[in-house]
Amino acid sequence: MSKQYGFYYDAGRCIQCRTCEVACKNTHDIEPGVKWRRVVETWDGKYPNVTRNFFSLACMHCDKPACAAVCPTGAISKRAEDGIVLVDRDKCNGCQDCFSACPYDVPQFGDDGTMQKCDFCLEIGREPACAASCPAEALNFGTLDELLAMATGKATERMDGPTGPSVIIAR
Amino acid sequence: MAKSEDKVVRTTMWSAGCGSHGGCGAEIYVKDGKVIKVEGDSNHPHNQGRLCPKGLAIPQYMYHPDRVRYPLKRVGARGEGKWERISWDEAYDTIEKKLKDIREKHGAESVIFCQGTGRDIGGPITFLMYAYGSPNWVQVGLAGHACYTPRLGAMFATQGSYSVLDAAQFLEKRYDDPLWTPPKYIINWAQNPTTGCFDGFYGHWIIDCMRRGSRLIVIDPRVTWLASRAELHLQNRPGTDGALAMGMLNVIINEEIYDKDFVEKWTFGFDELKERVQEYPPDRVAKITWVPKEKIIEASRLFARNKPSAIQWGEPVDAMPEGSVVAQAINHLWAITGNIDNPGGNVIARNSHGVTTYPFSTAELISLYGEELVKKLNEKRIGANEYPMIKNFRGWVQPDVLIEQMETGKPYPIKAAWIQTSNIIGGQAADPRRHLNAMKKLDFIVCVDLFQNPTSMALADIFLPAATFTEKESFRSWWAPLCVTVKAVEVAECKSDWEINLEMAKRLATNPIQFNTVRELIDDRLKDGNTNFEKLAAKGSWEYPPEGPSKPYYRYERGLLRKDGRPGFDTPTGKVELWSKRYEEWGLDPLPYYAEPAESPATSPDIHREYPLILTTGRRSPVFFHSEHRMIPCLRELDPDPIVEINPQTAAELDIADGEWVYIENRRGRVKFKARVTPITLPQVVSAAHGWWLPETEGSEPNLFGTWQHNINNLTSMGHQARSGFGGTDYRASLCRITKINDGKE
Repeated sequence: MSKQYGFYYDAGRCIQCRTCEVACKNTHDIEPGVKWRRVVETWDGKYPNVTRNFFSLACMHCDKPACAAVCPTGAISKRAEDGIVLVDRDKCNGCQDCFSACPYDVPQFGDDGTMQKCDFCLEIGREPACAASCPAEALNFGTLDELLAMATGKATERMDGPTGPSVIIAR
Repeated sequence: MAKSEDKVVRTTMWSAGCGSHGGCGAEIYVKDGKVIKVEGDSNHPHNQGRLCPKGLAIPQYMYHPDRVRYPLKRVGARGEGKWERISWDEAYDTIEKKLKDIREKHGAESVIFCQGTGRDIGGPITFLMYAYGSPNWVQVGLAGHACYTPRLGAMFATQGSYSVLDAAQFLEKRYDDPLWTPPKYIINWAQNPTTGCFDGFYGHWIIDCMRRGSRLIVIDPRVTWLASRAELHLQNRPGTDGALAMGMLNVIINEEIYDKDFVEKWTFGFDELKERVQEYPPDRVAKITWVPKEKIIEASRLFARNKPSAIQWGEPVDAMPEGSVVAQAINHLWAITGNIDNPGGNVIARNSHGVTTYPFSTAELISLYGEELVKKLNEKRIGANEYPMIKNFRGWVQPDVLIEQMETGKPYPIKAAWIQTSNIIGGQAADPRRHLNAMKKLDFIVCVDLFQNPTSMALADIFLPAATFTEKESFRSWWAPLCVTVKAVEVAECKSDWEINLEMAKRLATNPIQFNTVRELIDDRLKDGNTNFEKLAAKGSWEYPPEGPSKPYYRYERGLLRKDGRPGFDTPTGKVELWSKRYEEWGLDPLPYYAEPAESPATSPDIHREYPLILTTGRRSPVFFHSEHRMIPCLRELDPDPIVEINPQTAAELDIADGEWVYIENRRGRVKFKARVTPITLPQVVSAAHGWWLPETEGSEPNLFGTWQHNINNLTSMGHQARSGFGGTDYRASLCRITKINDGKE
């Protein structure tokens, strides 16, 4: 099997500092209002026993990307050699079908109307800025095999979903 | 293609840019004379390569279109927002003439020198002020001077030195140093270190300790991230931390689980303290604080029975009623458990290499300026005569006294203000309207800042553009290591606070200034540490001190704390004073006690009926430093609105849904906030973010960037200062009510 890159996200460690979001925006000069990555918060329990957890989310580079399946112009593709889901913005017609199809609200649309999202910083040719900048070591990048090795000893699971997200989560 | 840089400058961050309070190491990537990227320096021991979003956003901050790049003079009326670009020479000439005239007619003391939070400003601003001859150094409107000074004063009185949680920050190898051991328990008291940027303390250090085995007890009215990871969370009523500390002392003393050897050998006044804490049995404290009695007892036992353990505390301690007393009681908790200057305890923190960045205490002030001058200046210093602790501990003005003096002109009038790094009206001041009205009457006001803000817009006659830390040379000895800030680039005509104040001091000084350049001044201060700027810069901007008084541990046993070289603590008795001789000398109760907030369900039931919710303010945002950064797009986007947190039960009773706009109201005013309905706050408590103004809206009066609509301090007031002058505010605990606006729409 060829390799699949993904993220390993340790929810126990994320402190919602938002560094990954800012690193992503600055690295790709993303316009205000468009987010390739976002951190969301969940609460469990009620007063006086409340637990907070945060999740840093971006494109999951799924096994079976729903966005690519519905794209009428063939702008979205999954690369065979590393599993990265890429969008060719020149081919995109801005119909936003991909947004409707994506279970995770990943596709973003800025002023030019074409779809944009995380490309694992492929274009700048380095480790994704979000994972590289994470001060809590909560967000990590690598092949799924490497990531599973990194998570050894933790209660981890590959994120569940019909599209097969390439994300491993520890709680 | 990856961006390629011309050079990478390694430096220590301090002040404007990210707003750094901490002292992180950074790598500044420069191309064509511009900063293109900032990353954490993995060789720097403070942050070990990590950086926060504000650090990453520095290029957007530096090159923001609204940044003021040239000196300005006001051409319309104050508050009209009409400015004209002028040269530095014209700005300096105008200021020199005005301030010399005022000094001649009214005395140098009629000019106040105003700063914001204590970053890289204490040095430059006091340098200028003492050169000019004024004693009046102040954080205008900071009620009760509630920012670290009360805690520092309490530690100075109790143990003669300051201490902080030991996260191996004083050791070059950090966590790998065999001398260090992690605290078994950390009490994280009224601070959210993973979100804020605190004075010399890096939030991730707590997590680093947790990863090495430390367990957590969190004392906080909110469920912070750390609270939700803690073994015990004491979710107390805001304002009652003093009672909690007394209750914990009660348990530890009565159960005899304190460190008997340490108490016997190294403390003074234990029996008196023991008697005093009998007034605070756990069931009484539970009623006051809303923390179940069992939790108070368990937290006390876990802390006392597991040595080493340490306490990391935050600004709310200062803001409590009788803040310096609350700090004293908390200091006693680590003292009677013997957690002073031990590995993994509350380690003593001293200026690195013995270098003075700025005259921090009265003692340092005297060493820099001589006893005679300090004595003379103290005669006129505002609040010094009323408050002996203020006179004898630190060279500040008492802000609650200052506002009255500005209004009445008694005992002498205030005529001018030099405001540098401080957004008084839009940030720091309690009751900002009162401060605006008082300051409008001043004859002359200079603002030194990077962006226009509500204060500069309303008040400045001259605006001087300041530099970020990437554009300046400076130095830092607060605490270890000794660091320098290395200049990477310049932006237009902006100058550093040190440059501006040295140049201004040369024009205004009554005695000639001996330094030609900022570099000469820095090297003069660094010579106490047998080093200089160039050497430190070449080492990557930092160096740990050699063996001696700046290095841990157990310095009280080794005779490294007192001037006379004898073992013991630098206090009158040479011991940790649980019954404080210095407090007694300053006319204060030598023992700690608890005082209720000025406005609370207990002290003002009539107000409570009308305003049934407890308002606490000042929770930190990871993307802003106090009132800064609201104009930085990549940061503002993540925290776009002034947020008030409301418990779901309370929100349901008030028919308020998440995301709806509400009024927060009390007897002093009304502001507009967006509701976040969340179980992280107590049902009876609402928590409002501070420092909000909207730089994208009209800056001139009356709007002043929306500060009257969104600054929570419009609901706070002055005049509740502690008996010591340090502490006593309603920033952290007052009463309010909340109503939905216009069906929740803006």
